[in-house]
Amino acid sequence: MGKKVTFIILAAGLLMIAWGLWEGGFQQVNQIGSVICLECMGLGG
Amino acid sequence: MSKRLTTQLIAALVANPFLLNFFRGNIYQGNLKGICVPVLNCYSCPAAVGSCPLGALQNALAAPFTRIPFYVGGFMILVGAVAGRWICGWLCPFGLIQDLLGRLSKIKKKLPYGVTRAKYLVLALLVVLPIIWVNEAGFGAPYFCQYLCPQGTLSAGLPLLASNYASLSPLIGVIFWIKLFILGIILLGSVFIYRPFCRTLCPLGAFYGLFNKISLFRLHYDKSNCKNCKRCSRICPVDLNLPQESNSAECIRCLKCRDNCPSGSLTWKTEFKSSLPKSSPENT
Repeated sequence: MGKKVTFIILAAGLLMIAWGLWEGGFQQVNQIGSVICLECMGLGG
Repeated sequence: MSKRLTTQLIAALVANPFLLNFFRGNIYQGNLKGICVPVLNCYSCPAAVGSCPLGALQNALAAPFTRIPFYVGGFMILVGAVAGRWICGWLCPFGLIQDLLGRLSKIKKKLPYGVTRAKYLVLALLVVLPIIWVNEAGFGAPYFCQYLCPQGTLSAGLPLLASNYASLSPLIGVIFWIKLFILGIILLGSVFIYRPFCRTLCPLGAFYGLFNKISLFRLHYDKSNCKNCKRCSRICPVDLNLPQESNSAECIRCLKCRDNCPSGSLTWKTEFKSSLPKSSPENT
């Protein structure tokens, strides 16, 4: 039981990553992370 | 230096290799920023090589007409399913800072009962708020980063402000001072309470904790060997009732319990048969 659950979740995670990469998730995260985020620094408001 | 401290230092350096950017006052903007790091490590930290999964997740959710952020979500699920909160105990740079501050005092206070549950509320709000709290154009914001995240204040806000003071100082407002106050409380609290942020507020820790019981790598308890000496329970820095709660969502998997178990009843191993050998006092 425990093994099955673990492997189903692992497989789901891998599948989601593959789907996300196919949808352009890498570029999206790259765009988000490549800009200085003033909000993250507490300077946005 | 302990194996865990060495791993934490290496992990912090791997996630933040561009140390010279602290003096240049800029951030790394190359393609590697498309990769998420598994830890709380602000992408606006000048030295950061990858993106914080929480920041990336919130920004993806905050965009209008957003699709489900499969890439970041899948990454977080995969990491959690492999190691659970081992990431917190062994890789997180902000965990390392709290650990180092904790060494300054031997006085350690326990957290009040129930306060550790606050991080689940933070996690829920982190996911929900960017979707429902939007402006006229339909854009949300990374509210956790904006109002709470002390790691962002420490590793991004303060260094970038120091190196770009003339251009950024006009932006200092109430939110900055609130975040600075939160950071101060957490850093001061770390001296007297073991990892206060990880245990009470960190949404990433809360998320990984959900996987502690079913992760590929986890603690295994062999009841037949146990001498019931309770040494594991006494040594546990997050005050768990061990060995019964060995895979609790609160466990950051520092593995002190395993290393100090005289009978080797606690082992850190995968769901497969191969067991990682313990280093119990009897065997050394």
